[in-house]
Amino acid sequence: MSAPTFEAEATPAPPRAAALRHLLADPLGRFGLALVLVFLLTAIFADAIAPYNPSAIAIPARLQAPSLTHLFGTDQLGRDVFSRVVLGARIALEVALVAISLALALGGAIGLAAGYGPRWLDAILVLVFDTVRSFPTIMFALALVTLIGPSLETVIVIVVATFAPSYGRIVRTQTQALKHAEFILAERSLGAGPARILAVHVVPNIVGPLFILASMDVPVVITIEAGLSFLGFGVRPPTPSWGTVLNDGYAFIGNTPWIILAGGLPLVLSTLGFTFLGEALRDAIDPRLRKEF
Amino acid sequence: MAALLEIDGLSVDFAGSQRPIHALRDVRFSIERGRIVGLVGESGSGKSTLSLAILRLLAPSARIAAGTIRFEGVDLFALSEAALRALRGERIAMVFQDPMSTLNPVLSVGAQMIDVQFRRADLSRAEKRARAVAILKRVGIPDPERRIDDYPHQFSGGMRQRISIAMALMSRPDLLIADEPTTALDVTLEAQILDLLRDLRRDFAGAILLVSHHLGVVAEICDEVVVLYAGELVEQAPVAELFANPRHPYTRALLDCDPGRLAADAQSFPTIPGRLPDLGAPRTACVFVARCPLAFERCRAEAPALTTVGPGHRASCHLLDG
Repeated sequence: MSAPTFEAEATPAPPRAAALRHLLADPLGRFGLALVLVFLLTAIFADAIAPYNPSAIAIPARLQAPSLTHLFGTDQLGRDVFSRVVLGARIALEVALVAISLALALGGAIGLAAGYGPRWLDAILVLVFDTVRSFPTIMFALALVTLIGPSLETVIVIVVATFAPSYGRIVRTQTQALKHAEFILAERSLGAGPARILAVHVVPNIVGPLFILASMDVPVVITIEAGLSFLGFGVRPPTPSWGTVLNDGYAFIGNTPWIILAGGLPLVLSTLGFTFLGEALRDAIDPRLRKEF
Repeated sequence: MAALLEIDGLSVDFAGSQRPIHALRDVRFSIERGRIVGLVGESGSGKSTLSLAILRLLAPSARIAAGTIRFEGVDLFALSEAALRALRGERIAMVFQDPMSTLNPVLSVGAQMIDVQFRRADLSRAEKRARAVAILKRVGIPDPERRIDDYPHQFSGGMRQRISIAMALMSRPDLLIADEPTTALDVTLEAQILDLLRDLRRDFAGAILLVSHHLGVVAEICDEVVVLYAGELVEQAPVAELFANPRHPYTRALLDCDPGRLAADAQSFPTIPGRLPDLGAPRTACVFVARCPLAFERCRAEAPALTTVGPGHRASCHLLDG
């Protein structure tokens, strides 16, 4: 398993470069990376890319077909669909990043406590995870929207509640596995307390796989956000979201199908891109699949 | 002056499925400053349990049933977790058996050695790094300035054990517990690590408790030997005395089994027939009775007490009662 010193030194490429090479060698990985880059750049430079104010209403120009002035046409209020889709990418990315980071932080902290803490604490926290997880997302969303009303924050709370328990369970299991590792015992024998052990020795050992998992959840969150917004539980009009674009187009699907296509295609492509990239990344970084790591 | 470490009447039980397993029973001995004490016994004799009990790092299923361990007169079992933590690594440090698993695989050696100096708020990161480099050089890591940023998997087993020892010695502990530090290594590396420990004792002036199942290792560097059998101390003696004049039948059998002491033309390896007794059973006889070639009536009826048979030499056997 472990190479003698001189052989290890003979491997020139550091692990990160090797992982990148591996990723780019995979055609699906390249395709995924390209789609994700387009999505990210669109989201970041949305203001510069969008030709019109996405909320500017122009009733006389309503439901126009795609043209050079309006690439994806206009909706029932005469708003430029292309601008709405471009700004929708930003909302999608925002929700995904904020919600997944919060879910990672919350689930991670609780998972560490459950995994490293006493058995009774573990039992309580696992019960909490399972209880929260047993609510179907949509039912939970309905209940929450009834309580606090639909908004971007509601979507984030729903996503955090959906994902934090899964991350928590993963972190808990990994922590439990590491808890009895000999190097943890060795650290304790040198006087390290629980906080130091967790921060310096447990977390660095589990963040890698956890980040890959989280990156594979980005498309799922984007879909959830679009779905909730489509149902009217999420982003409120006039804020542009792929879900609200889909909802607007849905009513006119017979006459003006471009609206629903314009809202749906980016959703499909970004989901596809993130999934391909995530899988390629996992293959590239997982040491069990790579010999030189 | 009191001994550095005094173990007095220590008994440790593990929770068994039906009844507790007595891993250690009424063990008592002490370690003087600057001495190397060997702790010898076969697998399952309680050697590791004893080392972990000193640092109070036993698994949750273990329970100190009786006895005390005093370090410089302070009862370790009465200390708070915080006070213990202040002691671990600072005054008492430990080196473990398997160097392949005692270093964190995802942190560079330097990062771990800098982190382990977390108590030294007075030192800058660069100073901590310099100390780490210096001690790595001391334990014989070639080119430590460059290699300190390597990860554990880039070092060989012997090098990793040196790094573990370096980490344990970082704060010049008064007592170093080395739990089979050479068992996972091959013979040449074993000799190097033993040399290193012997040198280090001279430099660091601390005591070492060297746990081993290998008598050759013990003969090599220890001043004193404690022999454990089935969780009981059966014999303790200065090293030369033990090898020249073993008084307990188990010690004699153990010496006979040492491949290093076999005649060159020996046709077979001697073994000790039988196996360790049931550690869960209450003790009404000598622990070694089932395997003892000299056992007689009294050995089955009562357990022998430790008898002093010479200066610093104690053994527990009915035959010694004269």
